[in-house]
Amino acid sequence: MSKPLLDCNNLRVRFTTRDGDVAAVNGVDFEVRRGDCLGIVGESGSGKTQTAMALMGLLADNAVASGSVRFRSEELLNARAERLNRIRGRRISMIFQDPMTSLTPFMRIGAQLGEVLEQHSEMSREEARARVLEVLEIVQIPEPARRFGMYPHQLSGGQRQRVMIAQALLCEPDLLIADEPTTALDLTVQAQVLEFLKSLRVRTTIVIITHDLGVVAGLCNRVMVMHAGRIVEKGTIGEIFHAAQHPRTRAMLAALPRPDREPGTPASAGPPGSADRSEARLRVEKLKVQFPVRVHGGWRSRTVPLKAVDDVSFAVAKGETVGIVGESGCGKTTLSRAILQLIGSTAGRIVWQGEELARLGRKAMNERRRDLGIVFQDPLASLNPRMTIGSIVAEPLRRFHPEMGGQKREAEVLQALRDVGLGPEFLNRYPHEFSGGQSQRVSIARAMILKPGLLICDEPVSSLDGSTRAQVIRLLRDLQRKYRVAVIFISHDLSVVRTLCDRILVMYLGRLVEIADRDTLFDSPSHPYTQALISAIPVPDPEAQGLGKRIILTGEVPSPTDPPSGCVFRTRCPMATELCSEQLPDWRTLDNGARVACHHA
Amino acid sequence: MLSYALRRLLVAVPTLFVIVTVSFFLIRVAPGGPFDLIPDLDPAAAENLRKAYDLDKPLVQQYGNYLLRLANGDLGPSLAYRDRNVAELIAEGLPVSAQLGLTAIAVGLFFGMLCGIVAALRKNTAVDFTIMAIAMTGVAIPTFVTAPLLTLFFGLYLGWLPLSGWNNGQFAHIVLPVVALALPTIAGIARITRGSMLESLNADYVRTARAKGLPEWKVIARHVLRPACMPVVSYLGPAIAGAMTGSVVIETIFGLPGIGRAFVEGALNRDYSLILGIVIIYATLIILLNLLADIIYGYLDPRVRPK
Repeated sequence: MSKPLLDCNNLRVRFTTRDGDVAAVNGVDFEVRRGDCLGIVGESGSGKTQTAMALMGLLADNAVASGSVRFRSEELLNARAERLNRIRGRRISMIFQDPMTSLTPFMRIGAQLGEVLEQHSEMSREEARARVLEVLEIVQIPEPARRFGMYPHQLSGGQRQRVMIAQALLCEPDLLIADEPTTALDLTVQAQVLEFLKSLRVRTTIVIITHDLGVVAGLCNRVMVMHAGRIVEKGTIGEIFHAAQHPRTRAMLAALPRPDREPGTPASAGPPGSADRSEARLRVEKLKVQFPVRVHGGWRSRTVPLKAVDDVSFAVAKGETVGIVGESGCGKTTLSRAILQLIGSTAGRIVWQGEELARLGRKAMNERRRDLGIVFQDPLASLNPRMTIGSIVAEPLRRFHPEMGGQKREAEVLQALRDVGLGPEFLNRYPHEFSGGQSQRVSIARAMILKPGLLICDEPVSSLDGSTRAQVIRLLRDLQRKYRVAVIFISHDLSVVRTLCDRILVMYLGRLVEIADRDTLFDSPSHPYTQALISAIPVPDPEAQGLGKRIILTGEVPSPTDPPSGCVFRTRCPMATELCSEQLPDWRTLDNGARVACHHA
Repeated sequence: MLSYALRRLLVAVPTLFVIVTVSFFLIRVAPGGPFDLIPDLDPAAAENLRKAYDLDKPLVQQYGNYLLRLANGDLGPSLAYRDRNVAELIAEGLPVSAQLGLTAIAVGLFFGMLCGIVAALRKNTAVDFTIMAIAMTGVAIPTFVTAPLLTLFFGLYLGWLPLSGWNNGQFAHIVLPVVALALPTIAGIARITRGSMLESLNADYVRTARAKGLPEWKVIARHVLRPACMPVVSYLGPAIAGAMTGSVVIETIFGLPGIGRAFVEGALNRDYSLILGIVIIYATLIILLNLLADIIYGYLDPRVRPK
């Protein structure tokens, strides 16, 4: 057998901190052979990223690494910078998670890519420029010559990640390390980037680090699973997915929502649709929310409306869970804020229990808030760091039940904490002592303590790891059954929505494009955008990946200040015709009960 | 860019107007008048003086007259130096203060950034701690302490440099005042630079630059220094305006004919027109320098570049 390209032996990384030493990587052995695509999978804090940083000599100053990392028999670990710099960027290159912060914001794209060639090749300026343009072409950046002179912030997220990939490919490296390359991207863009990485496998050896087994399934031939700084399991892709030995791996597999398979029981007490839809508790009618955006041009600047939410209508019945799905910037968060009157709407009505909320005065509206709960995306940022958990959860009671005695209040708080699975010992702790999952439980307890009629969850699990995410979803489902609360669940993650919701609304560029019952939507999506979204979900099963045909959308979401004429989706729609650019499609009800706004569905 | 600058300058006109108006009435609220300090002035003569300078008219009318004169570029006569006008006084004092101040800022900028960068690159070492300890001391000790100490040491004991006086800005005469002025600036800029350097050294894109295989000096020069300069730029705008319009303490200790001393004397003498004149100069400088700082900001960071 030939020598491995990369051979990692007993790698250990420790961090010296004020609270003593912390071991991040605890003796990791693996090798990468030419032509491999190795997936390193683990939850946050499992040491997967620090392993990669150690390979590249990019550990923080307070880190101590030991063991051995050999790249083509050359020792890299703790090597001098001069030696590393002959290999980094040339023989081994790396792609990072967040393309926004990983590109230097004040350097033009061309200059950032050019300096790699300046460092590692003898090319003249013109040759380097030609090579940069060539690679930008390879990574499918539209109009490379124009992008060459642009700054990172002028590109979209997907394009920025392509630039990162181009930068990594400039010197045709032997090994490409990708650290969560698609985590910061939208689903349809993630599908594009994964597709591209797959096409690279022919020539490049890849190590991909991710928390998402779905990503690994479609891409890698070998997988290793990390937990608490150790490799708990490694094997071929088939072994990991079909014959996992270690309980950690099994737990990770079990926690994965399987969009391709029958989901568990629906959220509401009965079968889907059991909630009485004739009796709508919340009605949103032709809602529009626009923000004025200043556009500068010459002497005078004018304002154009940014249509964050455009002509959205739907209803939520008692005890029903409605999912709102769409990519970032589609207006789903704005919609939720507008429903709660946290931001004003431009037109349309929001009717809660027969009352139009916008018409209520400030005082009356504040009274209604006892009935409207919200859970935000970032659990730590939405809890006041200077308040104890007890006082955070008790605050709604103090506001709406000032007559309640201290003892009674504490009993209620304890009950609310118990409902979310937290014991009385948490009462006097502060938010920073909590993990992400625990703080999200506190947020839910705070939102639920008044037993609201409507709970809006805005991406409540997107900042959580797989197994924690599954727990929080289960918790939400239990609470919803117990208290029969109507839930609006906002997420960009279709598989999460599938496990929880009765009915799903799909949003694109401020407009709803499809409304359907959960099973109808997943089994026979009608709108081309819904179809693309569903096919873009990375299925955590290496065999299933090959089956259904993937629809890879081209391009990215247009700017909401300048939406396309007619149907907003037409610029990326595989079915678009002349008609779509001329006429906004009307809502139609299909035979399967789905409502869809498309000329061709 | 040009239209942006012009728009900002247009906005500056009403800003200046508000500043002039508020200052005009604020000075008049202070008790006493410009001629109170003249010994043995008999009431009739005082009345004549007031008449001569229009101070007997209603306040609003005086204000109107002042604005009219100002619109014609006339800052009016000085009330304390009775044969001089304000424009002349400023024309004499401002170059002295500006030369001192700008030199001090240049010195402060160079050594401050140097110290800050070195301290950041040698974080948590003896070098870092020494530089930062000196910088802390520099911020904490006021110029009215350092200036006499410097004079005492270099002027009296060693006799290397003159004790005071301007002498047309001869080099030997400006060394000590510039050093005294620059010391706190060096300390301030060193601290700001160190902090922002440490922050930008931690940026994700610096990690990317290292992953490209660039040598450390290129990483620092291309990817770290520029964002590290930004807080210094915003510090410099008001600092330069302050330094150019003079330091009362330095000008008094070193006996320099600058505008800073004129300002304080003007305030004590109730020399209304002189105070207003210097306020206008100071405000204009602040506005111009902040505009300049914003333009430099846009150059450093394309994301905040005015469209």
